[in-house]
Amino acid sequence: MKVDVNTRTKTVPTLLILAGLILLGYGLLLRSHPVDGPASEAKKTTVVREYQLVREVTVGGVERTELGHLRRTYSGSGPALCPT
Amino acid sequence: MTRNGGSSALSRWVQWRVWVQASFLLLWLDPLALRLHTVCGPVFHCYSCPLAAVACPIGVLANFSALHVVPFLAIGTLLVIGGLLGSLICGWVCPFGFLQDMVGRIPVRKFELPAWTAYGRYAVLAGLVVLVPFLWGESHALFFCRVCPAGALEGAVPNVIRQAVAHQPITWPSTTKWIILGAFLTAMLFFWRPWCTMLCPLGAVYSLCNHVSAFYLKVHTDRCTGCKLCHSACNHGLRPNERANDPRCIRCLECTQCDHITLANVFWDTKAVPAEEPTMIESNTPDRIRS
Repeated sequence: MKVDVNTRTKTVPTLLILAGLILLGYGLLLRSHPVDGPASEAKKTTVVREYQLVREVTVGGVERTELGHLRRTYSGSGPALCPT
Repeated sequence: MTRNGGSSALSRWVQWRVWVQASFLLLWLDPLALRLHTVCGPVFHCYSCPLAAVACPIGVLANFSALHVVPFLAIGTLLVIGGLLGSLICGWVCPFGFLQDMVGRIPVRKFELPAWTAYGRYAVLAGLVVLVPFLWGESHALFFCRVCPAGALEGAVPNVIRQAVAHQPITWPSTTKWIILGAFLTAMLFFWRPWCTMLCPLGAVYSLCNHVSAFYLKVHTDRCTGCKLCHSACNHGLRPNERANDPRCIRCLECTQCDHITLANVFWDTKAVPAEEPTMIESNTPDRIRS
């Protein structure tokens, strides 16, 4: 099958890149999550932006509770290492 | 022999690929100690590494899956990079790929992996990165980061060394991690890029994008003489003149040693051929493969 590659592929990568940029913009500017304090300070709920959550998961700083909430695993300064 | 306009200038970088990879390695090793772990990087580089500049997108996907949260930043990063470059990232930018390239240069007889092993990457992506964390959380033994050889090499080993040097109590990695790391270091000697070829979930994402990415390998079939220079240039046993944008391709661009294969892109390809032009095809079309 002969295909004009330029015509065929221009739309799809453009859409992919645009979709990616929209997701990046949404994640960066709008998306946030409520995160409960650690077990000892369970009532302290803070709102964490997605990019902050990315930082937290790199050190195992947030876990999911049985109720489906996000909960911080530490108080004070965060862990230095990933738990795995 | 001719080249296809301005885009082929990128193909001429092939001889400098090692240096490009080394330069990116320096970048990922965070020489300015910025520790931008709020940013998802586009490469497979464990953020547990004491020198990691950015967060690993696969680690973020797996951890967010364990939290039951959609990782918009990670998915957005993968879509933008994949849509633009496809697996060009694997061949030129990824530090774990660079390590495998370096180990692969040790002169030991190399064996070719069967083509079906490439499907392992999709199984790892769906199973260990998404399903296992989603269903059982990050404490499961098969949670991706617990079995990741890049994590063992770039995160666990440097941390053990750092703790030993600082006379701190050492946090030893699990036996599983040591075994996986040893197995992969050995496999790197006998196979070209075994991790990328068989199991890399990030490579799975980028390889899917190979079919549609803005940058792609263009084969000028009207000029191809069937000399198979591109076959012998490909370390992965692919046949670029028959299927240039194969999902297993890491776009190292070694096949562009033949001037009839060029790296082109859809946005500023200076010599675009009209749709009726019969001489230029994208070689990953299925009927071409089977003919």
